[in-house]
Amino acid sequence: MTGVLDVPRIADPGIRGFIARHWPLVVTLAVAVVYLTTVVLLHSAAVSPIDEVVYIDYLEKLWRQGVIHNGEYLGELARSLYACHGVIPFGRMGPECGVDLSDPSAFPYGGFSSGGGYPPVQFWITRVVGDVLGLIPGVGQLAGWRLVSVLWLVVGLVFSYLCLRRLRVTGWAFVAVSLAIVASPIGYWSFSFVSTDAPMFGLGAILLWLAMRRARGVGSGWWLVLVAAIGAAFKPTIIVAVGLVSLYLLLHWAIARRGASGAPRGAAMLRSLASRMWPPLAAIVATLVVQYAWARIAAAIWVPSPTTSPGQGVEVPLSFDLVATQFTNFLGGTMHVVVPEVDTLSRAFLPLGWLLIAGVVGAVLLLPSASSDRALSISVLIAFIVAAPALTLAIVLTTGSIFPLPPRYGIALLPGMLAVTVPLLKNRWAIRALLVYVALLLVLWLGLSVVFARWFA
Amino acid sequence: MSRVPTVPRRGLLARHRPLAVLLPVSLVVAWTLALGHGDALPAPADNQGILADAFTALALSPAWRMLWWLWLAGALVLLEALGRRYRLADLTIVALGAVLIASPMSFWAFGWASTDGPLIFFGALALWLGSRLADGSGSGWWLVFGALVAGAFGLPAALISVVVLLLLIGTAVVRGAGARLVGFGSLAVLAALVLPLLGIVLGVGAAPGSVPIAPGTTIGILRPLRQIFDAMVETGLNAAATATTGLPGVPGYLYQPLGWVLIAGVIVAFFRARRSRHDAPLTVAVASTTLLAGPFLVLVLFALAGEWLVPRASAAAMLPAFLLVTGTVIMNRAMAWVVIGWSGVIAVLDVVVAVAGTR
Repeated sequence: MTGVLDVPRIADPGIRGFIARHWPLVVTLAVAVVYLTTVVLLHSAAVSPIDEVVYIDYLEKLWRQGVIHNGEYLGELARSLYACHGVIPFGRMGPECGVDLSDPSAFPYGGFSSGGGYPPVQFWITRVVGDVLGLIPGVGQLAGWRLVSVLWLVVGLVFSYLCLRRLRVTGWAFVAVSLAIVASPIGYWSFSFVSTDAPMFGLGAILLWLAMRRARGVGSGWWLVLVAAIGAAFKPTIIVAVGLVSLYLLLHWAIARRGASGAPRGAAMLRSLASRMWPPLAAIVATLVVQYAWARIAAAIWVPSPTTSPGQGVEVPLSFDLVATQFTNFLGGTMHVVVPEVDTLSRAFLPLGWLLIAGVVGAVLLLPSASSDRALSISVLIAFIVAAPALTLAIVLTTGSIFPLPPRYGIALLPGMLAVTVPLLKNRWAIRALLVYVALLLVLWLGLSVVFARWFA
Repeated sequence: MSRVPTVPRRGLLARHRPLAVLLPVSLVVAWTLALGHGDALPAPADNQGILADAFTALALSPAWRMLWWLWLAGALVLLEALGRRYRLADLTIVALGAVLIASPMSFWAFGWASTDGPLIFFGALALWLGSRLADGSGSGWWLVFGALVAGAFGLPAALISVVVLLLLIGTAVVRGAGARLVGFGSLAVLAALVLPLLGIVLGVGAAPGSVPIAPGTTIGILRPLRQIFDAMVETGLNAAATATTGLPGVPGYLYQPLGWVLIAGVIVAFFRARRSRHDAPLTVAVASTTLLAGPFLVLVLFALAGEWLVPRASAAAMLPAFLLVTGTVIMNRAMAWVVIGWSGVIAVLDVVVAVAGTR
């Protein structure tokens, strides 16, 4: 209750006032940016195991040809990265460094690029912004491209923070959980290398923020459609975030209607539902249209090659078991699953998996007492469980083939995890324990970056 | 969800509605498992403590297996008593009991005459005695005596004594109850070590763990540190929640959600622990041992046996504690029903695997 003397202080409009009001965001961004920039600058030219060589090849060819075609071979830069610097942690691949690199079949996957599946939008952005960042003394072009991933993290954290401001929850809990994402394996591989997963985190957060505004009747629904379409022009995995916000808006409408005494019925109810749900439905249609359009374009511009691409060898037959295992994929692994072959350190990251499960499942166990947004808690849990099997089926339907989805495809759901986990952290000692753990992980990654840089100099 | 019964109910059944559901169900499941298992010894034949050899000999007897339901029934009775003490709703207690009956850990613990069954019972007993002591009722000597007897079923019995010790320390800190509580808690930990130590000295029974690193082998400083670190995350909550020895032939995705509930329960309870809450000492004690259980076991095993061992699924004794803390965060009936429903599915799978899978 506000008393007569409790006049709210007039906020300082300057930079100090901004920092005072938004210190959790400022602290988080400061730590994340300084840490990730350091890590990026520590990296050698060795590439991440998550297809970074393909992305670098895309970026390198962008000004010459604008797009990568299906059936195209990796270029000279990518081949020299394979041969002379290698893939972390596997080492050098292909012919010996310094000899003739012109035979593509000597490289992994027959030397073919798998970049043809990606529309060029995100690579244009990465190339333009990354080249500018690369002009900073001491950075260089490759590090500049990698720093663009850091910017996507910043976008994701800013919009996640705005979501939590809307729920009136921030503080050290926000710092701790956000930095846990930064310190996770998915954070390391996505935000310190060139990655197509990094934009999914940023765009997922924007979609969630727009949906939360829309749920309160604020803002135009077209923004949701636009961001979803842009996301689809980046990578199909944005569909999991679009699915999350659709479910959220539907549940928010249903819960609000249940709690209202004079809720409309009949035709008025349908109008109310249509008014709430057209943006997410249009967003889903937009993602499908963009993906379909790109598939047609890619098919039209493919280039013939003397041999057939062997693919990445990850395709498997569709089976009940494959779909069923996906139900535990994102919730069971998005935060802590390391690149499979680097699993000697997996135990260090296991508690990150507990954090994800605790936040997402715990928020629903505690309903209705702990959440200021019940619809969000329920939709985030359902999305984490259902998104991977749904995405599996969607991929089968659109491409005709399937592979076991890596847990990192759930990265667009992590802003939702942030939004439901942060409000649960009430115990200062728990927050401190999490911060200490996260600090240890950051130090571990810094050490690993030095080791990787030495091994793959 | 209403947490405190307002009007005392008359009649045994009315006062113990959770048990009226759980005991018959547990009897049916446990006896079906006991009779359904074939002549093969359980895959994780990790009977522990000075009674290990005797229990391994009994494991194949269907009559003894059927008797093992008594340990489960005892654990359920104590779980209900604990639920009442921590003001859990009846439906929540039923949900916790359903997880206990259906979990893969119980499949191994109560389906054969193993030491894990008694360990689960003694885990619940120690928690109940410790909670009574923390609330100022009951004698601490019962806690010490219980820990002494529990030690006969293996070293992991000491884990739950550590939980109780931390619970009593937390209570002493919060309520200023003093050294008496801590004294009894410490004695209980020591008492739980007596019989395992005796077994090791006399060469009777077995200690938990994987293949030991022989004494005298040069292992440097990193190996023991890694053993401790591995045990930190793999023993305790992870072992209980991910059920490293799951149901044979059953895909993990079917029973993993039960583990998620335990993980969410223990961690979120710690996230929300407040000094003013009645369950704060319990929550902090259980959350602490989530990470400390493994290193504690590794170090005690080294101290007693002189060997570095990585304890495998030694979390049976901790299961009642994890369940109880989870109960404190289940606030809505819908989720309680989801947990009950999922446990029912796993219980059916338990039975199917026992009848068909192990033959």
